[in-house]
Amino acid sequence: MSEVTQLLRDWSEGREGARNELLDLVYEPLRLIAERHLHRERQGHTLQPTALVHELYLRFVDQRRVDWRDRTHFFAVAAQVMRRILVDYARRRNSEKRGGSMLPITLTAALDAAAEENFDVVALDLALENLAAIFPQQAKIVELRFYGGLTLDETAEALGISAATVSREWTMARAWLRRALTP
Amino acid sequence: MTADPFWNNVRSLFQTAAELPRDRRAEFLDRECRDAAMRAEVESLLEAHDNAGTFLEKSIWDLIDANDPHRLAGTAIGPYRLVRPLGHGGMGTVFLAVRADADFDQRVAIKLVRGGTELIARFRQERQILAALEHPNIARLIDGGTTADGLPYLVMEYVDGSPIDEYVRELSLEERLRLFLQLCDAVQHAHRSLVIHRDLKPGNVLVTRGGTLKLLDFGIAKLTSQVSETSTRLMTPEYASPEQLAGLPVTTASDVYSLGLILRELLVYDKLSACRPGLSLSPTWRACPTPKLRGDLETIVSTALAHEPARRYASVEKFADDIRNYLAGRPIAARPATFVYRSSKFVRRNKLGVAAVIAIIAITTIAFIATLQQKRVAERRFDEVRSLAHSVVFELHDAIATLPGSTAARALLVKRALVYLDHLAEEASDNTPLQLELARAYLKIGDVQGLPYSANLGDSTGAMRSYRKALSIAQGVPADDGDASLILADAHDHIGFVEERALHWPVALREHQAALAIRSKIAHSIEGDFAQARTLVSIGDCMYVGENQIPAVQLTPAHGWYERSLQVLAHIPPSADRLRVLHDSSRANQRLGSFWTYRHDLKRALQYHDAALTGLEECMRLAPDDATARRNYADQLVMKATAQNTYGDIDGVIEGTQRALPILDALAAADPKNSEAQHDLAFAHEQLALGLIRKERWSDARAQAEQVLAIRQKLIAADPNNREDRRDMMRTYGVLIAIEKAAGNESAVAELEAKSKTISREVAR
Repeated sequence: MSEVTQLLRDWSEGREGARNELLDLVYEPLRLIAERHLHRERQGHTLQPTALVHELYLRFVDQRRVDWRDRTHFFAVAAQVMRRILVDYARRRNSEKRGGSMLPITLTAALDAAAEENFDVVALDLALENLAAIFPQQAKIVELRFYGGLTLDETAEALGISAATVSREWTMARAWLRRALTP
Repeated sequence: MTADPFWNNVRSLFQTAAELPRDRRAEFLDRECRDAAMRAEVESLLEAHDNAGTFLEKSIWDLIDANDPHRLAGTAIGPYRLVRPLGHGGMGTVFLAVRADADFDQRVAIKLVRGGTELIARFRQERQILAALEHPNIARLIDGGTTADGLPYLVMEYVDGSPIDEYVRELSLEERLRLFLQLCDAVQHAHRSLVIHRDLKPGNVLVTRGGTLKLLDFGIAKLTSQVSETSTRLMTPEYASPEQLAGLPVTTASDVYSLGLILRELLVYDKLSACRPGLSLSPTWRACPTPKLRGDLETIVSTALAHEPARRYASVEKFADDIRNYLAGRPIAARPATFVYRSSKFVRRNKLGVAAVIAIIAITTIAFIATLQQKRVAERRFDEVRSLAHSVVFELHDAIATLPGSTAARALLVKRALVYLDHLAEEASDNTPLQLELARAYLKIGDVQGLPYSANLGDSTGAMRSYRKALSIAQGVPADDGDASLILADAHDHIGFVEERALHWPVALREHQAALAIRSKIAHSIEGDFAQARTLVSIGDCMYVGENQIPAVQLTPAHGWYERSLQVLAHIPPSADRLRVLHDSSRANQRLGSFWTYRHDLKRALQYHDAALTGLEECMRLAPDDATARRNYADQLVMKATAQNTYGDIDGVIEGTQRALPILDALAAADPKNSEAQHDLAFAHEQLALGLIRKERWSDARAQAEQVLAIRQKLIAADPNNREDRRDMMRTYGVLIAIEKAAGNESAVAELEAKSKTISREVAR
């Protein structure tokens, strides 16, 4: 069993600290894959950006031994990592405003897309943090859906709650964040 | 689920109301919600809900997919077909494309803009400018038009080449200079056509395999007749001139400056291994013994890089002429700048002063013991002991507080006096003035033990204990006592300061808000205004630095608090205490400078930083013997340097930190027990290291970073509970990792990363 699988199991069994260890473990490889992906881009090969998370998943988890619950948990972690990478990258871009050709195209596309939808990923991250202080489950739902790309049903499964609850909480979280990001 | 009933109610009301038709919500809330605050909350959420549109409906992955420029590969634009993205610039994506209807394979670069009307307007402007520029060293505009979606595009000559800084690696000095002359020709041509490039950098200058140079990207160029409008947002700060960074009008002299930077880079590139200036703190090309950057070339580069536009070459043509003069062995027109030797005699070490203080402590201790013995014999001596203790804690302490090197002496002095005051307070627990005096003495010793941002012994645990004791003593005094209120407010503020250092922002905010609530009830006085201004700055600090930790409902914009503080200070008549007004306003200005740096408003950031610098310079002049004034001035130079590092004004960083370091060095040497001085020194070395990294002066950067490491290790060992020291250490590891990565020391990188991880866990705990 791979280390990630073990940690996923530990986490689902509620062992304190397993989540953070998992996060530490996957952050770096995910970042490397992102970099490699961007490098390929420069070589002219096209790779679906969503492949980032899938590739990481395949690399770390022996799929035959992992049930669906583990897989969802894995995406939950990947969602957190994605959130961190995006915010780190946005902060870096904001502080450096380096010349164009140096910017990784995919992450730039993500930030531009966010800007077109009229929000900024750093502001969203902060607002989400504030939301988590009051409604931790709502913040979790946003993380899984927005950063993890999970569907409503997958989110419900991951959190062990009903899809109807996810939908209700999501509606409120979205209103909360919209308000927080409205100047 | 949250435990807070208020929020639980808000949630259930919102969720029910959101499912109702809009016109029935008011009636529902009238019936179910009696609390006005709760109703306002629910209504504002409902409003956001109604206006949410498609907000967050697509996941970040969907957004990436939709925006990924690779999706456009194969798309036809006019007669061209996009092949693949080449890069992403300030205004849009550049694609390699081919002409689909041509008999021959014509490769072109197509620039497509995405985004708002402002960018589209700029883009049209670039098209206009390029159409007017015809020069063999400027990438040619071939065509342009509008896509089916109405977005403008440019078709440009495709330049298959490398950036100039990479291209020159294998070239001799003369070849590098001749290539640079091609660049000067291109820029000169643009200037003659009344166009300023404004974003000259190696990435915009490509050289083909055949050795032809092509200048690209007139994206943020301006016609010279329109220079009054400034734009700092789109340019690249690393190659920008000081006036561009300051948001001032840009002229052809700005391009001269950027050309100077490029030339310097071309000349020292990949020669860094031969350049080992060691610990020297002078700017790159002064310290660098590379023979190329001596003599005339040094003079040429430094003339192009003069800070004041008027002292640079008057035109690119004159700049190029001097390079031609150099190549032909003729005398150059520029004259070397006078080298100003900066003496580091900022600090006069006052050894005699410290010795005198120690003698005074010895005498007063003897006097205490004598008096106390007498007191035991005769109760009527009580007041005399008290007055002696008071004099030691307040008058003597304050008299020596500004002497460099007095921190340890101050601690000893206050601690001794406290022992006697403690005894006295026990014997007279119902004596209000004495209790207050004791509370004040505890505040004072807390400050000496560990009040951040002032000379202290770095014992934050001890400081907290002393402040809590001051708080509990003052709380025992009748509530209507004005003096007690002042002490309470101070104690709250000081606890807040220590919590800030421990990065406990919500706790710190609570303490400062408690202080503000008390202060706003106390009768107006000059002393009270100073204190209130300081509390306001602290609340601003919590909102600004602690932004991540403070719940949204409590969060207000930090700059508003700082501005309120400046307003309070502006009402204090300068005759009251000019030095203090200057000092405190400078502190608020400094915070505003940092705040606007964080918010990426360079113009405002520099304005505030410069205001702070001017104020603190005057403080130093008004109080030449005050160690704190010198420290604050040096600290402000470093704070400005952090802003300059953010914006890429690296020469400014190097100059500023080099002015600050001798002052901070002397202060730390004169007061070795003062941990704040060590913090300051580490921070200054670190900013310099960051600047040197940007200049790729690796060995200089390493020397600076190693000094930072040594200081931080000592600080952590001395105050193991301090989280901020650990967080700072993570930053230092980051600096070292960057240096080791550049040197290719993979094992060192791995070791540092492991250390950084360990310490990040300690910080998170």
